[in-house]
Amino acid sequence: MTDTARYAAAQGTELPENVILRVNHLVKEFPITRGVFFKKQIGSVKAVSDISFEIRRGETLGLVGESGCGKSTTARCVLRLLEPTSGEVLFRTNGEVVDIAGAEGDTLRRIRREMQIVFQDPYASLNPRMTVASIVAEPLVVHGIGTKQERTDRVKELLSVVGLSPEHANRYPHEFSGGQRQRIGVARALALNPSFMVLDEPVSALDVSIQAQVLNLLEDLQEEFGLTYLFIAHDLSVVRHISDRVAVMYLGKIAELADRDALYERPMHPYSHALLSAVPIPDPDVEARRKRILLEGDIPSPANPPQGCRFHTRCPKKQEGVCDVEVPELRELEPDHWVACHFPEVKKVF
Amino acid sequence: MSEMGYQVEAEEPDLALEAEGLAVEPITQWDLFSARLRRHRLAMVAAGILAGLVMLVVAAPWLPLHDPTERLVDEAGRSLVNIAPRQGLWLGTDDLGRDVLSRVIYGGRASLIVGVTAGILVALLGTLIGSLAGYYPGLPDQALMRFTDLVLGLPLLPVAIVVGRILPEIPFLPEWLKQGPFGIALLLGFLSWGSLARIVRAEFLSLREKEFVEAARAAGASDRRIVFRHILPNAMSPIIVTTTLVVGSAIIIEAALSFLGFGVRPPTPTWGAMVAQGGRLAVRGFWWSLVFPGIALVVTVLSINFLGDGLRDALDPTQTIERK
Amino acid sequence: MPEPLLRVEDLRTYFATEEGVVRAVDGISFEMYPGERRGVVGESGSGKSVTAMSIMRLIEPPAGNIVTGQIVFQGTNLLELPEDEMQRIRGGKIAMIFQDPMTALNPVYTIGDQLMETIMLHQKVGRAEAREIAIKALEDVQIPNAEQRLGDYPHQFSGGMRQRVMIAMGLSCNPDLLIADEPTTALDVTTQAQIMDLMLNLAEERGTAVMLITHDLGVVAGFCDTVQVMYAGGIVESGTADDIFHNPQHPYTWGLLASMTRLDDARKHRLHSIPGAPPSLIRLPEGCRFRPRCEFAVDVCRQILPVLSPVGDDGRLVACHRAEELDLKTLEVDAASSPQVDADPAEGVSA
Repeated sequence: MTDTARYAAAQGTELPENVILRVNHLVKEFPITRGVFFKKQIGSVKAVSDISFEIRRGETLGLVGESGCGKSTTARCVLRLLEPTSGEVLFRTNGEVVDIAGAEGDTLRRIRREMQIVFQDPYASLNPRMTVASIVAEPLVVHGIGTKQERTDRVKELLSVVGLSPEHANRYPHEFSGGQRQRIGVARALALNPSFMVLDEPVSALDVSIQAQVLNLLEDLQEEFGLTYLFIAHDLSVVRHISDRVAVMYLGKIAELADRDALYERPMHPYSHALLSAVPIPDPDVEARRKRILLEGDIPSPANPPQGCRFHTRCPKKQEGVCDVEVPELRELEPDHWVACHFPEVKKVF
Repeated sequence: MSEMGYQVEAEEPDLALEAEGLAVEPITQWDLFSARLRRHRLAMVAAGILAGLVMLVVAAPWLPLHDPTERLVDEAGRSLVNIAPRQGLWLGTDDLGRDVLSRVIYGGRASLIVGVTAGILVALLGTLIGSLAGYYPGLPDQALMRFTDLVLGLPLLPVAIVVGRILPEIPFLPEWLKQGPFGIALLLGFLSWGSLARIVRAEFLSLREKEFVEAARAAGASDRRIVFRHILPNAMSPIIVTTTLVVGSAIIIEAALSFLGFGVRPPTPTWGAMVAQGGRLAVRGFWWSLVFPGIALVVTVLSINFLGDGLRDALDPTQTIERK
Repeated sequence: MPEPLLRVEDLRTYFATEEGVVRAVDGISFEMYPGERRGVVGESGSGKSVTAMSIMRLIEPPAGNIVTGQIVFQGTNLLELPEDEMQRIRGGKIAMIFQDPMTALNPVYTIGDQLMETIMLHQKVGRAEAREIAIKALEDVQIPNAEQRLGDYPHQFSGGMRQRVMIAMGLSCNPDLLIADEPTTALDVTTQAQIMDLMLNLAEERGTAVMLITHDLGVVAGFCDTVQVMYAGGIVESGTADDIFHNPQHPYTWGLLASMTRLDDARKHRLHSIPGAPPSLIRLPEGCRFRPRCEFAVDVCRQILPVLSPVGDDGRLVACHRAEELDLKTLEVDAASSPQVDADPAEGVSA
């Protein structure tokens, strides 16, 4: 069986009631071309290489990894902001299951009312030439919802939901601080009453004291509106706080996927060990006691990923003849705890 | 401008909010733009000069001026040739006895028509071709940009001279196109949109990757909405600034063509032709035939460039304006 | 008490902007001793980077000016030194590492050229000897094949490797003080761990004093002996890392620690949050600068700016009127005690 086939098979071919979204064998490659007149493809960046996972209704799935691991590309393929090279993205909407990867025209527009995104950079994600009112109302305008007056009322309502004053509606984005802008981005995402939201590093650009405000807001909204989140981040502390389940990605593949506590307390993949041990903890006593697992070298280029296990070039536990030859499958080693490693081992790292 | 015309309703005035300056009336992009422009002193002076010039050339037929082609004679019937500036003939006369003041003002007509027409044409063509190339990557982009390279590769002056020569020989063309400044203007416009198209394409390529564009796409916005609502407004600054530069350079190139004898046909006055003729007179001591059209040309082009600077700053949305 | 290596006294660095005077650093005083590793923490706009730039005298007039203050380094007031002597100190006795190693390295010169230039500038050695020192410096920061890599250009190095080169460059002249301004912020967490580990070993080995400027309290906890917390251009609290993390006495420090998510925190709880946003440095509030966001503020906080003064006898300094009476350590952080952020209309609208 191929890499994630077993995972897909174990989940069954039907989408169970409690699953809102399932990604099957998602692949995204960006061509590398050369030449001016006759573009010739000379290779490709394998940003996402055959990954599968599912998100259950009402939960937060954290997707973590370092830069270049493919987590943001995955999110953009899920939302069809990028065209997947191959694979399925099954999404449950109004009782029917639609493959987003193949959806066109009206179907795609209908799905887009159900899923929204909040971006990392609160400065780049708001059009500097639009007022807050027009930014937040844009999804309503695009889908032709409501009269002007109704939209105006809805904008006011949304602004107060995210903790801004309705009087802010006529201001421009640059008049706000980073945290307030992120609230505007959240208000826009909520405008269409989506059931599913991708949060792409929503607090990474914010100062610590502001991060907590936004995280609390996101949790409140999830509870109030029954939202399902795909939370993308590189900060493992934030992910532990907000997620129910967590997937760790490395170089376009899922290394480990488990319940939050299982992943943090009983990580099995050597990359998860290294990643978790590298995250600093704001406590001098704890830091003095900890032993870091320092990785050798740098992340290889996704244009030319290593053969076999993608992590084997830096893995402290690699075995020649196995790890550099055979791609490890994502296997369920404990209930709901999936690991893609030939030599998994439970290890407490803090 | 707020699309929804959002107004704060006349509710209980929230004193706390007002005290913090938070309860505000909507300010449109236009308000912000003009407020920022007004802060730019040099640009305001330039705008004043240009406004004055435009009024002058438009109102010229109704002003107490001599006909710019009339050869003046005194009461005794002697030609008033190469008369130095004096009362009644404030800028003197040229070697054919024509009023330099009247010729500078009417010459401004030709120059402004050439500049503005070429500018509008460049703005339209450059924006259209640049945005198509920037928004549709692949074949359309490739084809359009190679065509743009071709146009950019044409040497402006020789092509303008050759085409300018051929144009009047084409029988079915209307007279205004063959003779007047419009022919030159269209010619210059068609030859100089290339750099703007490149700039617009680059702006589109960078703006289409911006997160606010992705957000609009995620909300289900159509291509048309994304282009007209999100990308173009944010690309306006380079478009307007480049266009002002084109207006300035078109005026100079028209002057150069007229200087070389390939511009607007005499006796219609243009600044370039006047400078050419004035240069020959100035060496004989009749400096006014050279200096006044020269000053008009330099001041106009400088003003246009300063206004362009001011527009660039005024179009920057992050330049703050204090709310009162 | 040994002589301090660095003594900063009542430093004020202001910037003139169109909107008004930005009081980026507004009256800070602190001392650093030889071999001390001091964390300077604060959020964006707290003045931590401007403090470093002021020490290095890299504040550029006319916009930026050190208005008052003394920066005494090894007995000399740096602010009174002529520029040529200051140049000898920069990169020699005080070295600096920046956040973005790509922009700090010149892309058109090889790593070797840039390293050797620094070395020859500060040590009286010839080219050949400088080359030897450069190779040794790269080996010290664990760059493999140091000798070959001298001929490489900055873009041929990864982000982590570039930061290693910066550290090699900073330490090549054996400085007494190394200022590291967010050295790992642009790096991934596993690379950050490598770099911090390397810096800790090198600093300990050589006894170099390090001023680590960062917004990441976790990095500080693993690296620093002492910490100073900055807010809106002033120091609000300083002390040993142990004291600051385990017994914060300024409400801002306490709130910052309470609002952080922790990797080893298994609770599913609501985070404490500090309401509002930092004030505009152009229009600072009257009295205590943290007052508009402080849940413990009383009347006096509105009127008088608290000075940094000793609390207890372990060298702890706190700038809070209520430092003696508040016992923040015993406060349980939970959702109920979290102030309601959202309704606060005073949340600073900053341009």
